[in-house]
Amino acid sequence: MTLSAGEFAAEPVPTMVDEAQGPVAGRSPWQIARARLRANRVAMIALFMIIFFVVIAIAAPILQALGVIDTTTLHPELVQGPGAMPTGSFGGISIHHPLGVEPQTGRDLFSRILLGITLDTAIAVAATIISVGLGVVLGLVAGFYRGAADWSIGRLIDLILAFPQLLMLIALSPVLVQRITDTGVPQGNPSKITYIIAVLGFFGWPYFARIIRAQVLSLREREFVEAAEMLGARRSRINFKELLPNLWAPILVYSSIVLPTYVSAEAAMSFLGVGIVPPTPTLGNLLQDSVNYATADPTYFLAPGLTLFIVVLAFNLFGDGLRDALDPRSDRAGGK
Amino acid sequence: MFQYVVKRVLSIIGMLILISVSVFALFFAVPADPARLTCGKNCTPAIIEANRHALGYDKPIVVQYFDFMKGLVSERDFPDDPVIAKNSPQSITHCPAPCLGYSATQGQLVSTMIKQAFPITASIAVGAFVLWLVGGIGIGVLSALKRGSILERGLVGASLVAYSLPTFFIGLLLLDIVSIKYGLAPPAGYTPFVDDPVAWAKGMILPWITLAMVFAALYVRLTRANMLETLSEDYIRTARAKGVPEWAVIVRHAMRAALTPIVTIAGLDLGGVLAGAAITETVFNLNGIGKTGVYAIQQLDLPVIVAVVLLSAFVIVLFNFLVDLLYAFLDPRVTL
Repeated sequence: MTLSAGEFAAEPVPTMVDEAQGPVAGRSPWQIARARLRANRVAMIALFMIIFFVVIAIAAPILQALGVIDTTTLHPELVQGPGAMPTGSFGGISIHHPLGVEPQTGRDLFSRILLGITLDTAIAVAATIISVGLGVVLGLVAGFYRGAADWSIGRLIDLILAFPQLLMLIALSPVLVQRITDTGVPQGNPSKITYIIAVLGFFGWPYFARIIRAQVLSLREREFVEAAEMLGARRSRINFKELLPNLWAPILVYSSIVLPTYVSAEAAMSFLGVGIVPPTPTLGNLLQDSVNYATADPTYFLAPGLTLFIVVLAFNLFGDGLRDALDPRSDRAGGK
Repeated sequence: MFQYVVKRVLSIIGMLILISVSVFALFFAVPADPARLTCGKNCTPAIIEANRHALGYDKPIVVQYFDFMKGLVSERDFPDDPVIAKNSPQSITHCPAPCLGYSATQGQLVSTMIKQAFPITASIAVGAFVLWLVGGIGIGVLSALKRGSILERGLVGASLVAYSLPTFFIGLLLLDIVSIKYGLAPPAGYTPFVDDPVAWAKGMILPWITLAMVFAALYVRLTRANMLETLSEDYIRTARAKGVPEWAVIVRHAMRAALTPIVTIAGLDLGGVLAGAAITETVFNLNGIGKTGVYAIQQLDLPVIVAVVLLSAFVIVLFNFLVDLLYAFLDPRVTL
C-alpha cells in the first residue's frame, strides 16, 4: 500500500493483538481491516450469503440456457378454477416446482426467482458502478481544484438532490425509455433495463461526490500530498496515485450501503408500474404481480418478497461490518 | 443572520427557477402528445388540433414555460381563446393565481387536485414522523444505554430487518394480513381531521406504521451511534463525577448533544415525505401528492406531472432551508 495510510491505521485490533513475546509484525491498514472483518461473525455470515446469491446470479442464466431451470414454459395444466390458481397445496409445490407455480400462467416460480436474482443484482451492481464512477471523478475534481469547479459541482449536486427522487425515477421513464430505444437499444425490456441502470446511477452520484469531496479536502492538506507536490508530481499522479488509494475505504463502505437500496428501488419501480415486464422475471415484477394474490396464494406472495428481503438484508449486514472494519471511528466510539 | 437568510432565499429562488426549466425541458420532450390525451374515444384529428390550440400546446416550449410562470402570479383561463370565450363562456375554466395549470385528461385544475391531495399527504407525513422519531430515538437511546446486552442486539437487529424490507412489502403485509385477513387493524382511508379525529387516526394508522418502520430503523442506528460517542466524552465523565443524577446525565447532558445532528436528518426526511409518499399512498390507495403524481405519470398527464414535481422540489428545498435555520438555534456552535 501507499505510505499515506494513516487514516485508519491508528487503532490496534483487540482480536489480533500479538502475544507479548515475539516481534510485532507490521500490518498494512488493509490487513488490519480484513482481520477486523473476519472477527465479525455476523458480517462473515452475510458475506457467505452474498457469495451464495452471486453464485446464483451467475449460474441462473447458464442453467436457463442448459434447460435445468425453465422460466418461460406455461403450464396451463397446473392451474385451474376461476382465478386460474395453482392446483395442489402451498401454491402448487411439487418436486418439479419447489416453490410452486405462478397463478394464471403456471410458470415455475423457483426458476423465475433465480433468474430474477440475476437481473436484480446485475442492475444494482451496474448502477452502483455508475454512481461511484461519476461521484469519485466529480468529487475528486471538486475537492482538489476547489474554486469554480467546486462551486459548479456543488450547485449541480444541490439541484439533483432537490428533485423528488422516486417520482423522478418513474416520471422520466416515458421520456427516456423512448430516447434509449431511439439510440438503437432493442425496444421493451432491454431499453427499460438500460433506463433503470442509468437513472439509478445518475441520481446516486451526488452522495458519493459529497463524501469524496470532503475526504479530498482534508487529505490534500496532508504532508504526503505536500511531499508529492514538492517532488514535482503531476496533478494526475497526485489524484490517482496519492489520493485515490486513500479513498477506497469510504468508496467501499458507501457502495455497500447504496447497492441494496438499488435492489429495493428496482422493486419499487416495478410496483409503481415502470419496471421490467414479464416474461422477463425480476424480484420486483414477481412481487408486483403476486400482490394480487397475497391472500389467495401466500406462497407466491411471500417467496419473491422474502428473497428480496434476504438479499437486501445480507448486503446491509455486510455493509455494517465493512464500515466497522474500515472506519474505526464509526459506531465503535465510546464503550470499548 | 439576516444576511444569511436573504442569501439563502435568493439561492432557493434561483434553484427553483433552474428546476422548473429542467422539468419543462424534460417533460415537454416526452414522446406522447398531450393534445391527443385530451379527448377520449371519439377523437378526430380536427378535435385534437382544436384542443392543442386551445390549451396552448402548439406554442413553443419557451412560451408555454412563461405562460406557466405567469400563471403562478396572475390568473389564467383554460382554454385561453377569445373565440371560445365569446361563443361558449361556460366551457372556460377559470384558474385563479397561483395557477398550476389545467389537466385536460381529468378536466380539473391542477391546483384543485393538489389542494385535495395535500391534506392526505400531510396527515400521513405528520403522524408517521412523530411515530418514527419517538420510536427511533427511543430505541436508539435504549440500545446505547444497554450496550452489549441481548436487548441491544435484538433492537439493533430488528431495526436492520425493518430497514431491509421494501416499503411496499411492509405495507402490503400490513394491509393484506393484519388488516384484511385477521382484522387486527382498521383499513386505511382518509377522513379529514376536523370532521372526526378518531376516524382520521384510525384510517391513518397502517400508513403511519408502514412509513415509520422504514424510517425508524435509520434513526435507531444514528441515535445509538451518536449516543455512544457522546457518552464517552469527557464532560459526561465530569458530570457523573460531580454527582449529577444518572438520568440527568443521560437526558440533559448526553441526549441534548447526541440528538442535535438528528434534527437535520429528521427535517430532511419530513420534507421528503411531505413531498409525496408515493409507495405508501399507492399501497393504501390514498390520493395524496405521491399517488396523484404516480397516476399522472401513468396517464402521461403532463400539467399534473410538472406541477407535482415542482411542488415536491419546492417542499424539499424549503425544508433544507428550515433545517439549517433550526440547527443554528439548537447548536450554539453554529453561526449563520
